Amino acid sequence: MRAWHYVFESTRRLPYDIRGYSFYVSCLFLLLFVFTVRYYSFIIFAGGHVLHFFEISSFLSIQLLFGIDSLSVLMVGLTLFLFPLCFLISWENIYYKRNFFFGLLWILEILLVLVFLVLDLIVFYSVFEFILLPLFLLIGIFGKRNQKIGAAYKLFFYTVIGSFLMFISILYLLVVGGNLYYFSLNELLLSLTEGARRYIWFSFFLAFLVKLPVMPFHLWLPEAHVEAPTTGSVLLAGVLLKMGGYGIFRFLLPLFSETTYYFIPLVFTFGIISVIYASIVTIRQVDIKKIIAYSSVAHMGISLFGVFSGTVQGLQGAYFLMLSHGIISSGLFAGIGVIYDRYHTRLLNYYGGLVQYMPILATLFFLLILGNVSFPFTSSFIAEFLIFVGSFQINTFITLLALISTLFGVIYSFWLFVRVFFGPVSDYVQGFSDVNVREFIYMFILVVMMLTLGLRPNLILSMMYSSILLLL
Amino acid sequence: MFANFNNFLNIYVYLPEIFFGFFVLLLLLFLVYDSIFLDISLADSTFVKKKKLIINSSVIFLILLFILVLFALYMNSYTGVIQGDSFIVSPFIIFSKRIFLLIAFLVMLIFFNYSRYMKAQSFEFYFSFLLVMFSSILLMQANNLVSFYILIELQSIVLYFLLAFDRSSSISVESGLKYFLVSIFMSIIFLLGVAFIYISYGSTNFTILSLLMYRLEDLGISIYGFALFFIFIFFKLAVVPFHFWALDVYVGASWPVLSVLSVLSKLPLIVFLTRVFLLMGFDVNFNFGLNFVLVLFDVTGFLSVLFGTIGAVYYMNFRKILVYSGIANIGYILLSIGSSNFLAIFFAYIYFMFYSFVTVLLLYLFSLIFRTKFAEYTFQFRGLASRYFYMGFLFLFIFFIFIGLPPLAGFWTKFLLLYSMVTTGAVLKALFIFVFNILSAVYYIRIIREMYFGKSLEELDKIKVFATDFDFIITFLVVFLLFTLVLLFVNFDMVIWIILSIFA
Repeated sequence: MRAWHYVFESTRRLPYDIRGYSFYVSCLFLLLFVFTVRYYSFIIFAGGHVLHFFEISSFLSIQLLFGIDSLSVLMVGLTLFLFPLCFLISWENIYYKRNFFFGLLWILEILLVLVFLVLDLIVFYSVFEFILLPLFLLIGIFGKRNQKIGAAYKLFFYTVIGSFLMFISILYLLVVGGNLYYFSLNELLLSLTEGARRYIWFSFFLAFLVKLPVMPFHLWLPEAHVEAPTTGSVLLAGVLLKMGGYGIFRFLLPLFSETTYYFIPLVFTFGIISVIYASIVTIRQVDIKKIIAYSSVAHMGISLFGVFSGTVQGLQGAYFLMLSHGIISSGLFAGIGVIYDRYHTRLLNYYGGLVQYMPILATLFFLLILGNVSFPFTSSFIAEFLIFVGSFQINTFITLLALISTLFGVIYSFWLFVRVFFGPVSDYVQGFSDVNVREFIYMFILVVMMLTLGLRPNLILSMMYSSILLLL
Repeated sequence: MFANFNNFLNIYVYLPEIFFGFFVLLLLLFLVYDSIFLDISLADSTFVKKKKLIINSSVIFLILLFILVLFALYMNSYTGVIQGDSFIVSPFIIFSKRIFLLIAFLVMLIFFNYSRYMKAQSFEFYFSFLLVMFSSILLMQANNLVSFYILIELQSIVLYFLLAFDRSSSISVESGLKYFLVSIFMSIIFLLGVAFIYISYGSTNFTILSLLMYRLEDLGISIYGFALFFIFIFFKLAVVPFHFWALDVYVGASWPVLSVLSVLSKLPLIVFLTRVFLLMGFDVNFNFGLNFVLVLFDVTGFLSVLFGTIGAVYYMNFRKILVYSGIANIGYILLSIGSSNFLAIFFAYIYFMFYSFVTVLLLYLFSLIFRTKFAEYTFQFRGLASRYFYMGFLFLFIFFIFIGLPPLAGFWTKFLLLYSMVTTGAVLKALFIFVFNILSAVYYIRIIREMYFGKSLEELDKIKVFATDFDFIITFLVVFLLFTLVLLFVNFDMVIWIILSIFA
């Protein structure tokens, strides 16, 4: 019983090194996942669902319904792929409260995998909100500046307030329909009036707008990225933004058909404002992470175009853009993390001529910058091309405007790269060592993924094709 | 199990209470005899202190044991009406009593901790808790306005004593005095209400009143009677237009007394409200004059939620935040009762039970940390989580339960409330509750931020967490309940069992 004194007063000491343990176990999970997917592949990639059904509550008919189709598979795959890399990134980074940090990351992994698997609205909403808790702690405790508290608050409150209307709509649907069985939601929604459907659509959409940040509600993202530790940024950009997009694919598109068609002009308006604004603002930024964060906003705006274009190419492009953005932004943030670990500043005016000291990093970072720009041969080129083909069929003018934002994307991305790596060596730059083996591994893997998907996108696109066809 | 005798012969029904009464009297006799012996002896002060410590600990252990015994006794109690229709016992009331005993057990653990760091105290402090418990248990059974009044006054008298127990501290005496004065005044108002009701109906029995209320054309003075009666209940529950005493009184109470005041004294009243509304059947569809009661509940609930949420934003003091969060939560309950839907009232009852349980846990954790005088500021928590990780974790979970973050149990209880309100069509009320729930997250997140995001100040060195050997009980309870309630609450078979037990 004396031991409880100890428990109350200090964290336990683990008998093993948590970093290696986390890395290897997460690799194990990834391998298990890949093998499971191969086992079920004939169902998944032909457009069906693999379902497991647990009833949690008979009273409210909340079912813990797990469903995997190819959309979920890819997102879960992305999450499980990114996590070993995250554990590699935070190898040396986090020194104080390391166990706590890794514990938070594990909780986050479980929750993220869960959110892409559940098919029940209430459970989805619960996990959607619960993810905020580890994120809030991650940003607030492990950030390095005092502004991290404001950033953590913004993250929490933006998402909670954005999704509160979604909760009211879910409640309304539960009361009207009696239960929220995913496969009968379509008929339930058709039994409502069109006006009610529009309100519900908009409430859901608002929640996803905040998450996948679109212009009026994107303010939490740059702050959160700047203040978060590298691993937090990688996860935030890589997976959490995709939660919003995934929500649109899973809950918004299949369930409301005509309503989506009704709202397409509004969505395109939001999208174009977001994309152009984010691209222009980025040029002015001084903090490297903010530049990458705003470019995330721009990319997700473009993905929004693809989703609401209503064509197969658009949808495929949007989903593929989400995946490739997960890889590229994660890579960019990881690269910045490498630099930050050495120089401990993110402001551009302190940098210059880094290529003299870190040529390998410069090369890898350059390839990722090309990915950010959607240069041909990278995966994001394929994605954006498909998106623009799709949205060109709907509205040519908007597509032209969006292409202008791609131009701005080129401007800020290359300018970032040139200012940091090329040019005369800045007075503040000392000779630090180039990427070590560990950092090289994760940067290289991300770059390789990006290029592979760019050269052979069919690996992924073929998996998605039938599911997306079903959405239309 | 209905005992068919009337009045006094119905002894099976109140057998546990007889047992209770005898226990109280015997314990009191023993303790008084012992303390008299103590005063007479010419021993030095260390001996007296040790003896007092032993007496206090034994009193507490006896009370703990007694609570467990009572809990078992209420397993298969008889039901019926006793003592000239003054009391009524039904399965719902027995169930409520058992929950009350569970919460009282936890409160007794707080008393136990208090006794360990407050070295020499008279036994009366711990013994009075028995009296509070006695009056509360009987209060849950009250079927008559007169017995209701007597038992509430008994409870209040003991509370006056407990609040002002630390005579050396002016804050404590002030809180006791304020509670005394305000309570007396409200009791007078209550008695006036009882007089009005008696004039209109000729009886003070709740069962008879519930029958008589339906056949009214000209209500006259009975509206005022019922209004004053409910105002008294609102006063005891610290509902908004009548909540001004709560801030000063809660600040001066020590932690065990605070848990009695904020949770245990409200519990019988909530049980009473639930019983009244479930049995008397106020109904929006019934258009008779006493439906103003529903309006009363709606208005006070609305104001409570409003003032409770907004009031707490300013304060940096834990007790004051607790006061206002209590006001806001009672506001949710009142709004839900005002929907006059069976499910809504029942879920409000469940919400209050759960909320009181979590509040007692929170107060227990506070009592482990704050042992000095009465200023507990949020900045004293700064950096708590880095030094006392487990404590920080427990606080994190409890505060996120208060906020209502989804898979935790706090969300599901609120979800039940909102669900039952939306089913009756009170969508605006549900929206209002949900919005203000999110607003209340502001001050809870502030506390969490203080715990986790800051570097410790030197204040934290003064705080030494007082973790004893028996805290594994409370730890086990907290961890078990916080995690399993995530799932348990969603599995509503337990809820359905409770519903059935009412009508058994």
